Amino acid sequence: MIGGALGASLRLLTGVLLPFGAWTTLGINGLGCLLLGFFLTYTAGGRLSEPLRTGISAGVLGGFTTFSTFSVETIAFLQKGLWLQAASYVAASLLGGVILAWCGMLAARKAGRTS
Amino acid sequence: MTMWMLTMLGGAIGAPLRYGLGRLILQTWRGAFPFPTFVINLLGSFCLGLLFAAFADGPLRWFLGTGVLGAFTTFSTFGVEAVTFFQQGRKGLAFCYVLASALLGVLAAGLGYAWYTGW
Repeated sequence: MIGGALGASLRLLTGVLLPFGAWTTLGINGLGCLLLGFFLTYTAGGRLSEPLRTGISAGVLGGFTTFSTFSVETIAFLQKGLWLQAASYVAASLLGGVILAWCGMLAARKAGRTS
Repeated sequence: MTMWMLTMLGGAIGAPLRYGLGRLILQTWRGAFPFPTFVINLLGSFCLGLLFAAFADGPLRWFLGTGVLGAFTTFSTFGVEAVTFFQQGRKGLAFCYVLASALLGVLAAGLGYAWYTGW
């Protein structure tokens, strides 16, 4: 609960600092994927207590990123007839999210070996 | 300030809702496909589409949209799940999961919107 409140506020903060809109959501989702990939891999195997791990992963990072805004923003592009923007937004979100999550997991594995 | 409080309060409701519903789905579903995240993201997209059609920008949208539904749905778990499948060599499943989530998520938001505005 506290994690979700924190995550949603962080998303709001980013949205206030940068202009609200699809490209800010894209950045938030990409960053969240990178951090979650890193965090889950790095803390695997009992480095953190399970409640704290769930609070940060499902709470803060899960609450920080959002899928519903992504869907609605795509619809908003489509309604305005901006097909190209809609397609590139979807492609960038999906590819970016998956690639960044991957990078996070790889980085955590590296960090885990050296420490 | 009100905006902050409403979003925080909403996030504090949305994230545990996701966790609880996810656990509930996992009690009946034991297959490989990540149904909890999938169902939650589609459901949240539908509701947010509906919300955007129903309310103009204001406190209710901050609380329910940015707060509850924003925190209820999640993109980071979705990304990590897709990569995990890929690493396990289940490339087809990873591909289907990503495509189905995106297409049906956008469709769900459109349906939510259209349902309220009367198609």
